[in-house]
Amino acid sequence: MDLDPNPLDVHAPEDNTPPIDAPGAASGVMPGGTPEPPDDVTGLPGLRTWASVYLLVGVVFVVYVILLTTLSRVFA
Amino acid sequence: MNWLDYVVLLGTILGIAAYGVWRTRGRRDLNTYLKGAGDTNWLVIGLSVMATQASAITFLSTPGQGYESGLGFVQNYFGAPFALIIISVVFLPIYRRLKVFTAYEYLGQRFDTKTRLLGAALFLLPRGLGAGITIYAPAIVLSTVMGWRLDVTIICSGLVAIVYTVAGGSDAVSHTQKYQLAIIFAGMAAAFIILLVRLRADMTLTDAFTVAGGFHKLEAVDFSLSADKRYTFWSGLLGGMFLALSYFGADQSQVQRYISGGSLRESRMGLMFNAICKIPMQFFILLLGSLMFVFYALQQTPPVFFNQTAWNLAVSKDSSGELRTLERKFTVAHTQQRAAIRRWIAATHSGDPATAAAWRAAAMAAGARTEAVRDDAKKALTAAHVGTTGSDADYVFITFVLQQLPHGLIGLLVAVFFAAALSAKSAELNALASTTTVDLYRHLVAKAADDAHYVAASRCFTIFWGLAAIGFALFANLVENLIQAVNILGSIFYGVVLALFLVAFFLRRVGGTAIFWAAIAAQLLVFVLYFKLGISYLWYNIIGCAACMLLAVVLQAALGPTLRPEETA
Repeated sequence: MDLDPNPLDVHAPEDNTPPIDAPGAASGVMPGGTPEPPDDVTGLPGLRTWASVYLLVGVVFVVYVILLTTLSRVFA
Repeated sequence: MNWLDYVVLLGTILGIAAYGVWRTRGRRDLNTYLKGAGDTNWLVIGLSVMATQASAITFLSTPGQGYESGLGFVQNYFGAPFALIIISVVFLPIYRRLKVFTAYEYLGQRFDTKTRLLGAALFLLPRGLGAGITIYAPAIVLSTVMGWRLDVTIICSGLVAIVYTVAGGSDAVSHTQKYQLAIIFAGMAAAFIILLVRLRADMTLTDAFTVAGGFHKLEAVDFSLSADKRYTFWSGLLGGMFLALSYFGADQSQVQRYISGGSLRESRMGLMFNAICKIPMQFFILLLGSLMFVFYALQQTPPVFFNQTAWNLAVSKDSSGELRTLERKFTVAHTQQRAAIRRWIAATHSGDPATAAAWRAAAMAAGARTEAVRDDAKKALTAAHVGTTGSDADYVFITFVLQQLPHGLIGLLVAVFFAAALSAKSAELNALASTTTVDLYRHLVAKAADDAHYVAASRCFTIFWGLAAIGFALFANLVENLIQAVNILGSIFYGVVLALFLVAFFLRRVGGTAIFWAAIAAQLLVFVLYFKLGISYLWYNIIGCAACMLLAVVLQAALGPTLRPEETA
């Protein structure tokens, strides 16, 4: 087994994996050439984009805070 | 516990573990062993993420937190939904695009080897300690209450987790977590229903909430801007968001759970499932504790100290009679409190607000006397050196389970605690082994071996970390409150770990040398501040993260522009 002679060398690039900003990585095509399935569709009824899903999560959070605050106030 | 309880307990725990081994038999390639079969759907991912975070500490300690301090701890989770959204948008696509096994592989690609190793070390150290707490926490409580040997309890539960995690890797963890969570939800729901039934014998549910609210056990949201308060809306939203960002985005024990999704959509949906369900889950566990306060306030003879084993030992050694005197004082104060509460509720029902207010004030005053006696009792216990820190919050729920639930359900609830411990522990072991194999062993030692070799190495590292966690648990001491200890430990390290990833994603001009030394300096700063300041520990997530990012920018400016690997060719 070979040990890396300079494990802390700042200029030593990582093994054979392409850098994060290599064209292949940025385009969504995997190093092996297999494209990632399209992901902009959520498959949820009424929430077709991920932005709408995230907005729903935000709204649900606000509802939780309102309910918890109301509980605190009503029985204070 | 009787024979029925032991049948339920052992059948549940061993049955799920055996299923995990059988279901994942024949796993050979590294990708499947570390990341699962690659076809995991969103619900399994969501439940796995939830089970990994919700260890036995959540179910043993959090009700006690609700009993002592009310619902305020729920604010700790306010930042989680937003953190999960950020992870879904930024972290997850990068991890999947690069097909990394660990989050720290990405750091190696973005920066250099030493930053990758630093990230891995900042994960391995606290998580390794955390794995010991995960197994120690339920063991100390259960062994104290049941009379089991602590070392046997620790070793047996640890070995069960090691066996099925070694056998099936990430897939075994995910599949067993599904059923462990089912047991957990069923058990907690049963305990909640039994509690409500017991309360209804004395009062309506509205009355119970009125009493809990009167004793400040329902104050869930505090909008105060004070940095000294441990849990406020702002510390939970901001500090909690940074804690959750680091925990879910950069802690391999969580990353490994959701990068195994069949598609990016499945992984995202799993995270959003947690974004929506986390807060209500924690709320109901805390509410259980708050309502247990009302239940015990109306009991004839509640324990003055819920760790009855430690109390009885101290009483047997107390030649001065101080503890017995405190018991009598507690009984008197508690009787006055109980009587005042009943009259308060009666006046409320009869529509006499002035009388109700007067009896409420009397109940609060008696409650204050009761708490004062409990505080004196805790100090006396600590001075008696019987192996307790003087806090009994972790024993409140288990006491309720053993005294109030029917046989069969007792076994189920004890199974809940073990299931929660095993689900978190197996995920931690899987992550520790993966990081050790991929970031250390494969990267530094054995670079060109085949999959079978790395799977074998991963199995060995799983055993190593499992035994290390058992060893740590055997020599650990109980801390004041276990759930807070775990969060404090995380907050000290997670800020800097998060900064490594945020710099990687958003500060393209910062290179490996700058971020490496910035991370070390920021981590030292957090250590110093933790021992110097008295602020909520949640703020250290932000402090560590901000300090690391700022120092990285300053250092990079001093070092000059960094050269990318392709520019040096």
